[in-house]
Amino acid sequence: MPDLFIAPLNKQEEPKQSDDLLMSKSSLPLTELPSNLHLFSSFVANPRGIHFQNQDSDEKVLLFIKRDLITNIVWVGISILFIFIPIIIAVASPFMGNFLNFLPGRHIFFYLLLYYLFVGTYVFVNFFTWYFNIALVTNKRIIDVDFSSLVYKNVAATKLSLVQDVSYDQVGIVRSIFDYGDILVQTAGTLDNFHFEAAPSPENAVHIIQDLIGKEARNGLS
Amino acid sequence: MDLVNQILNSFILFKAAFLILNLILIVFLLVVLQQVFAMSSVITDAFDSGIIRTVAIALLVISVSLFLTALVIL
Repeated sequence: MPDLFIAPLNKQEEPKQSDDLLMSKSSLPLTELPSNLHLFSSFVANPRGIHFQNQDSDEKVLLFIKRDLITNIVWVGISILFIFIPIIIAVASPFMGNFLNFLPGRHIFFYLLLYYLFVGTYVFVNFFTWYFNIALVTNKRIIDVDFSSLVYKNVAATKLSLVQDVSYDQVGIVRSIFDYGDILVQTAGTLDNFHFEAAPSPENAVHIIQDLIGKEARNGLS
Repeated sequence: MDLVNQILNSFILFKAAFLILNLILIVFLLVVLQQVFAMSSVITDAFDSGIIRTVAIALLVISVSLFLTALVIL
């Protein structure tokens, strides 16, 4: 009986892609994206020196995403205003009948110190709330660390194989100018979706995650 | 004499208000410090987590120092 189909003898193996060189046609390769991690980093590819709880020994962080730095402008503006309020009061005091004269100098000094300590605490709390709102994409999973109002902490993770789709929206002039937007990672079934708010370079992030999902699917089939 | 007493009372009131406000700040900073350490254990950054922890401790030390100084001087 003649053979209907004969498999080729020399099956060529697909070249293995390193995670470091992971790239798509439409997005920048990871090596071209910012890779220096510092205090104000909000989008870093292949960050070095960052680790998280329950990280596997062979698990490598590929993307590090935080809210865009520009989203901090509101509290930074309020803080600057707070810093200048005592100076404004000091300048305006002679025109308002020196209403602080009944207090001894040391009282004013101590209250001023306490006031600036409150302002410093306000700045610090806002900064570290931004600092610890992190999304990580590794070669195995996606991790979302939500932290707000000092008392709310939520750490969620999902395997790349469970991610079904990734999309982003970038609405508004400010978001277009500063190139940031919301990324939505949809997971399978009843699992929670992941929502990375105000992520910088959302297009690149989405392409990188899509590449990873594709790679994971290929690994699952083979 | 009444006027002197009134002024003294108002200063004591100012001191008490100052100490209460400072105490509230210290308690708040303790919560902040605890959260900083909790979050640092979730995400460990090679360099920057140390800076955040140091700033949190520095704020707490300054506020405690201010409280003690005010307790004595004011």
